[in-house]
Amino acid sequence: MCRITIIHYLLDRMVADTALPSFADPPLSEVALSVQFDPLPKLSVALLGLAWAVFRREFPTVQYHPPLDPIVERTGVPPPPSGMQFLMSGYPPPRLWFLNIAESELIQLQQDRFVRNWRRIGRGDIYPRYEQHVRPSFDRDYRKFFEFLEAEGVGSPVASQCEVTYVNTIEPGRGWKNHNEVGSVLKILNPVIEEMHGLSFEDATVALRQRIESQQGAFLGRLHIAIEPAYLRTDNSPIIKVSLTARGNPQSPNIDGVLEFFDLGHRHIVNAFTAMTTDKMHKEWRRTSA
Amino acid sequence: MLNDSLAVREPIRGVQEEMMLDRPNLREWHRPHIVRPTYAFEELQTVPEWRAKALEQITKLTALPQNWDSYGALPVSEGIGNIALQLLDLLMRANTPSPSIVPTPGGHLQLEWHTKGIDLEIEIHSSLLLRVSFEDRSGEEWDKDLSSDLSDLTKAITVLSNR
Repeated sequence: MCRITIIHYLLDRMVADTALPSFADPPLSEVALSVQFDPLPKLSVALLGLAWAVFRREFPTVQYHPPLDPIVERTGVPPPPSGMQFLMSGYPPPRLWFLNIAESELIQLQQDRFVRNWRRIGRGDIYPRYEQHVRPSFDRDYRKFFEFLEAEGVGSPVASQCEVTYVNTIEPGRGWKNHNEVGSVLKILNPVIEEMHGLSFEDATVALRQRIESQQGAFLGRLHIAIEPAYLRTDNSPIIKVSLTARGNPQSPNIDGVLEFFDLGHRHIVNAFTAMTTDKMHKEWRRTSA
Repeated sequence: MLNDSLAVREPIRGVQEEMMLDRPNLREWHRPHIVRPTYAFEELQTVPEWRAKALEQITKLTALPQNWDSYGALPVSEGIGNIALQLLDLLMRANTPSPSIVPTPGGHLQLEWHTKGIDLEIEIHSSLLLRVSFEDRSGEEWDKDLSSDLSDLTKAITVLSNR
């Protein structure tokens, strides 16, 4: 019975994965996989520093940043108010960044969070793909972190929220030149822009939220989409930044449950991005499937 | 704001610094919705009375030592304290009575209301495990473990607040 369930799950996953659209040259500038867990009080600043030894060979550079606050996707209540004050006894343990030499890969570590990022450094960098690199790298390094915590007697993290983030930086080209042509990139904005016909439409900043639900309709989390006009610092050319973050509950608090949510979030992000962008831009980004 | 070039450029400046420049900056996408550490001065005037009281209580409770009840009780972690505060921020309204906040021997916090013919208790185990007990002496009664869906709890708070 159990084997049959596993086979069904694998088949579902294969179908879902093969059905995903793909782009040979996506406008991605950054991808991150993050897991929040219930705080581990024994994970002191000293132990956070010791954890660097586990990753140091591949990530020789360290930086220090303020810790990220916990965020939990909930339903049945209004979104949390801003400006909330938290408990802080003394100095909160920092968030450490472990960077590789190229600074294209990053591990972020704090008392209640583990994050692994990939980012594009040069224009010629090729996105190494979710299935081939981003997911396996997280899996490998999160397991190393687990082993470190167990060896140090800290305990195992119990995952409470998972997060997949894709940041797209869409530069002007054949598809569009100015921010007022954002409809050439994002077709979901065209009805609004058409309604503004005759007015001097300049640009658009949009925030969308979408529920992520199980097949039975149970709340699992949310997909947050942010569209922002921006400019490249290098030459002041306009760009459109599209960030998609899928955040929610792992199906189980162990590593497999975390990875399962990442796959779900990844699917939601790829499908949403494809649905909201135009066919013209899909050709630019060389859409290859589905 | 959109016509203010600095405001528009600000987000991508962060991205570009991370992409193109030598020193990476804070990750714009990771900026939480919640600002640490304090209210702005002008907002201090608007902090509800229940929140100031809850913050004070929780601060004291998270400072309890191991074995605070002399029966081997576990200390309450700062993480549990912050979950309690976040939960109250989501649930409390202007007309909701202040809760009692008590520690449990297992190192958890419990939020309690025993008023207006209602007994409502929320034992906070983690951000995604809330053991809730609700008893309205005029009829309804339930015990549930809640995770991310707080609809039932919101209804209970509505009954408590409006009575």
